[in-house]
Amino acid sequence: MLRSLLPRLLSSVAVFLLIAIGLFTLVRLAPGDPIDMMVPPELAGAPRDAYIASVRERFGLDQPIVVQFWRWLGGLMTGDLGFSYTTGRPVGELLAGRLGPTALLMGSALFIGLVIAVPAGVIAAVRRNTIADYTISSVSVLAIAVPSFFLGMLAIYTFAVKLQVLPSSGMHSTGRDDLGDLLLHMIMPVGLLALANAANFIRYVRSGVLEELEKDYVRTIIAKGGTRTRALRHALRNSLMSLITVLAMTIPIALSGAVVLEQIFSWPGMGQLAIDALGNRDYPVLIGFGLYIAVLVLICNLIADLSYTIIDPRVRTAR
Amino acid sequence: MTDHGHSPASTVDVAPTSQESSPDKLAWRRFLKNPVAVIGVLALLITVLASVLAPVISPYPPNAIDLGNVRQPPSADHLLGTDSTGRDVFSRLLAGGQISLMVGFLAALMAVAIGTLAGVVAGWFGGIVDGIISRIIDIMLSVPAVLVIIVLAGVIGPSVPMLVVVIAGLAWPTPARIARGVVLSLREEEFVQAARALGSRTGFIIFRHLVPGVLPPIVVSATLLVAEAVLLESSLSFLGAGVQPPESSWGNMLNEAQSLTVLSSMPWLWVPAGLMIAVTVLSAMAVGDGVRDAIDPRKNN
Amino acid sequence: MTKQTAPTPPLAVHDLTLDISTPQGKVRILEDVAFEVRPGEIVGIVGESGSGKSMTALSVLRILPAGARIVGGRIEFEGVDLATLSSGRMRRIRGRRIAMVFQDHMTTLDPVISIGAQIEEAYRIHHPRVPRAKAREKMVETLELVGVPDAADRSKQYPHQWSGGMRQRAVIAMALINDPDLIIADEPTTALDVTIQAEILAVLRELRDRRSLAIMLITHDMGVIADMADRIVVMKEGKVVEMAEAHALFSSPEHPYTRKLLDAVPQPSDATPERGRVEEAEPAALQVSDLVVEYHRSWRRQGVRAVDGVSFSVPAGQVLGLVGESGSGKSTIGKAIVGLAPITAGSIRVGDVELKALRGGQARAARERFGMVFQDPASSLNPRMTIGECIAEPLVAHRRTMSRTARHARVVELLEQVQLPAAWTTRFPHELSGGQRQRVGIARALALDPELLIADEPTSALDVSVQAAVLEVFQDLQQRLGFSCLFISHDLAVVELLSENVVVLQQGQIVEEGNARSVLNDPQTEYARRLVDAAPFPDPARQRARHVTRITNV
Repeated sequence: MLRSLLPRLLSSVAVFLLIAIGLFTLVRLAPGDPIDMMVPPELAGAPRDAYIASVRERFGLDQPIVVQFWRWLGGLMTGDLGFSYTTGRPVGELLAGRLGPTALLMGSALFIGLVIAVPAGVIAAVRRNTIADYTISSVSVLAIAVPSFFLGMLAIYTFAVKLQVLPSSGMHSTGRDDLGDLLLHMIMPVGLLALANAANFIRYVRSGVLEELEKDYVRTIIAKGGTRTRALRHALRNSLMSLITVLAMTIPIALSGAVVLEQIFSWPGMGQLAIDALGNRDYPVLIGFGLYIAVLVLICNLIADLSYTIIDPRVRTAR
Repeated sequence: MTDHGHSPASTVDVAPTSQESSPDKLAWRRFLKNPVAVIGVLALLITVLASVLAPVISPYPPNAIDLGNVRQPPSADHLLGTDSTGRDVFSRLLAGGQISLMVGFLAALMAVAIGTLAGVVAGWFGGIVDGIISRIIDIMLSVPAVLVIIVLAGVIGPSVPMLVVVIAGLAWPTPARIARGVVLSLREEEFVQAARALGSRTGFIIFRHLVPGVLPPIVVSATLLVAEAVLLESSLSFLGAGVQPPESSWGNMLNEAQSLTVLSSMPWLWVPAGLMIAVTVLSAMAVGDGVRDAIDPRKNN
Repeated sequence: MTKQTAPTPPLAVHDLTLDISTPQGKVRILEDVAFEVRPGEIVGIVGESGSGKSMTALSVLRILPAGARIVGGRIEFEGVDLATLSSGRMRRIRGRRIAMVFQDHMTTLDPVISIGAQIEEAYRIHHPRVPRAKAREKMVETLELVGVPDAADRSKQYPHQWSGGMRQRAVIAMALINDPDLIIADEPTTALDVTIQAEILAVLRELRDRRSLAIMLITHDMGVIADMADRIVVMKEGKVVEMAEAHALFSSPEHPYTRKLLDAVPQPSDATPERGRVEEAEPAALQVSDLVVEYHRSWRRQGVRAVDGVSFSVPAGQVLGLVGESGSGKSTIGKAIVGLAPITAGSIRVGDVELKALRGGQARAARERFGMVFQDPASSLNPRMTIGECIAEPLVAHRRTMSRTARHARVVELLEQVQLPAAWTTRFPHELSGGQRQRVGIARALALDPELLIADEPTSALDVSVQAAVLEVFQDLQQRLGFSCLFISHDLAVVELLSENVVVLQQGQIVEEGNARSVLNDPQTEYARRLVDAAPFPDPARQRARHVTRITNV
């Protein structure tokens, strides 16, 4: 098993290095100099040049590019991602500070999404071409087709503006940090993200279970005297094997959804950090964010491979 | 001895039907019988036509500012009202449709072209080529396009061509995986083996045997990609990483409506754009699903 | 009163009628099917595809596909009508009183659950209160009964780790574990090689003898039915056309369809005079010397040697049979000749051309000298091309200067040669039956008047009566056109019918070769003998005699 994973691990490291080099080159080739934006507007002439030079020195921008790259790469290995142009704080620290809220949002939404999707997908498959199936399938198609930010705005309009039962933004009301308040703030963003995740998973579960239910071994179980429920259990077990792989692979994609919802609900997560960095052209933060995505994608891919190898006896026992 | 062969020995060996119709024509007929798919085609056609004819239909130039007529509710003069700088929302919606659909179709087209090529190459040649391409596909499938574009837009600046190229660059693994799968199974089909065995040229095999087989599922994938690309563009424009104001797009129209006042009291500023995205994406998905069901009628019956 | 001595049938089917609803309306699948199965009796249900034999089996257990409905008749099992039984009571009969053995050993078992657990499950469904250890013991015992060695250990493995024959034993064990009164076996050996088939059939026969189990055996194979059945029900298009004791049916079939079915089975007639050994002086159309074919699975794994030093030749104008079981390399040799498999070492000469030395365009051009007929008529023609386009493909590839009209004329001529209407050039493959499609395949292979034809199991996907017709067309063409042929098949009777000489392969090597009649009637090597013995003969008396000799041999 290790022997089959080792090449994958090595290729992941190689891919990561490629991405790192790519990101670094990108920044150096990028148009415009962000330093210009950091100079206080009242400075001009020589004081301005001196200020720029000092900033360049502070960020190491006065060194040759290769030196910069090696320093940067060395920094990466020790977790040093540089400093934010706008706040001057270490990028690693900034990202880490935003990890919690995003993980809370994504984790709970993935969990709730699965809790909805597995039973709904199974019902849609078992009751194929009935009203239950059409309803579930239509809702999931709608949830995919209607953009989440539009849904978010509709939700704010309904629950925050008209009904005034839910807070429209943030993680906490001012001056409160109890669990109840947090949960209240979570309902809309988590609910919408969970819906989006569920919509995706339902399609996988439904088609997976349908595919398995058509297989001969299901008929064998009925012929043994098993109930339909028992047959379904076998089919579900078979289809969930691939679902776990899909789940691991879609975690990074689900992060996209989280970023959009963070923006609408002013959720203080990594998404907001990235959007702010986008507005401010804060390269170090953007690069740090990019590296974070790359690591997440590669790790999730490895998890998918690993889970496949562990769960599926056909792979596990192959030689 | 020979006359015996004229009548098949068994009545079982009788041809099932004899309508003289190719499988693709049969699929097309099935597609036309699917009301949801036909409605999807019509809705998509209307949207595309409206966008193409936008310069003709638009009552006002989409970017014309009229500070005397700010945030007007819908009226006879302004069908969908005006926005914070007095621009006509209906005209902006049409202009936004132009950009959104262009990005959607162009990106989908490019992604399908790249993906089909990569998938066919991987499936046909197999071996190490397939190994490398498949590994890339695996990794790319879980790359979050929105986030990548945010980073790129932040570093090199947001622009429409960048949007198209990057969406296509990130979306091609989906059609590639489909094309690869189809080619892998076609390669094992006896008619392809037969073509190789009887000495047909590789070009003939690819264009007569493989392409017609790959095309239908790729069409499905292409329509679904249009839906996906339209969604992506709108999300990115909404986040400020896509189409930049004053140029309008459905996504950035919603962006401009994020304040609570607009949200609560000026629905004409954001509801139409949101609905247009939803309708376009839904129709494209309906068409894609319709084509899929028409190709493989067994799947959904 | 005399009836008293006759055992009551556990299963009696009366006037069973079944419909399937399709988008085009209702289709009658079974009509007034009636037969009975008595304790300790093997009843064979035989018929070709579309005869409704499998539907009959599925009706008894009520595990019909969606849309199928029993609309008339009774299925009496010990006096209870299964057709109207509540689903709860039906479930208690399934697997416990009546058990089923399915055809495809690859797919009948759940791939992700160990074989032992699946067999235990069959027991525990009907004995929920029995402790696990007891169920396990019973499972191991049953696996041992059907001849699985090391059952306790091997039952922990998953289906993909077992061979086909072993998997089918597991499926039988699963059917047996609850001591049922009746086993329904639907084509239980069709997916297996003949030697494995013989073993599985022996297991079933032994069980019947030891346990007085009733078996309902569904098959398309007249040889299997002759080997196994006490009584035979012949079905055609959803109806029972004849029902008789096995001996009576084979010796004096009453219904014309039964006669046709029996005639269609290829049987070597003893009347044909021996042709004697072929004179080697004739120039060989195909000369294969020390051929080695290795597949390289990947750069990390070692190559698989599918063909290991094989030499033979096909004299001009003759048919050579290439016989073997799956994995013998027989198909790989065919593929190596037409360029679908690599020639790792050795040589293949067609006429005076050495194929191994050819590359690219030359190799492609050389292929006009031979045609190939494939196994599966469902996949050997491109579903998107018309029959005319399919047949014209070799002409397009090798006769680039040929005009469109000349090509059409040739296609029509070929269609007539395989006895299909010339007007069919515009039809699509899905509008043709399997036998008709296979004739199109032959026409395509003959389009360039090849010196050599390679036929890879051309009739094994066809029903017997269809096979007979296709073989006749083939034989007629071979005699008229005089091409040489390498005929690859697992079916000894077909090979004996067509070919002068035969080569028997096992695991990539030749084990025996020579005159077809003498090899197949008097095999000299142990493996060839096993192969010949395993192939069931469509003659109950002869099969019974073989069982006896087999037992005395042991």
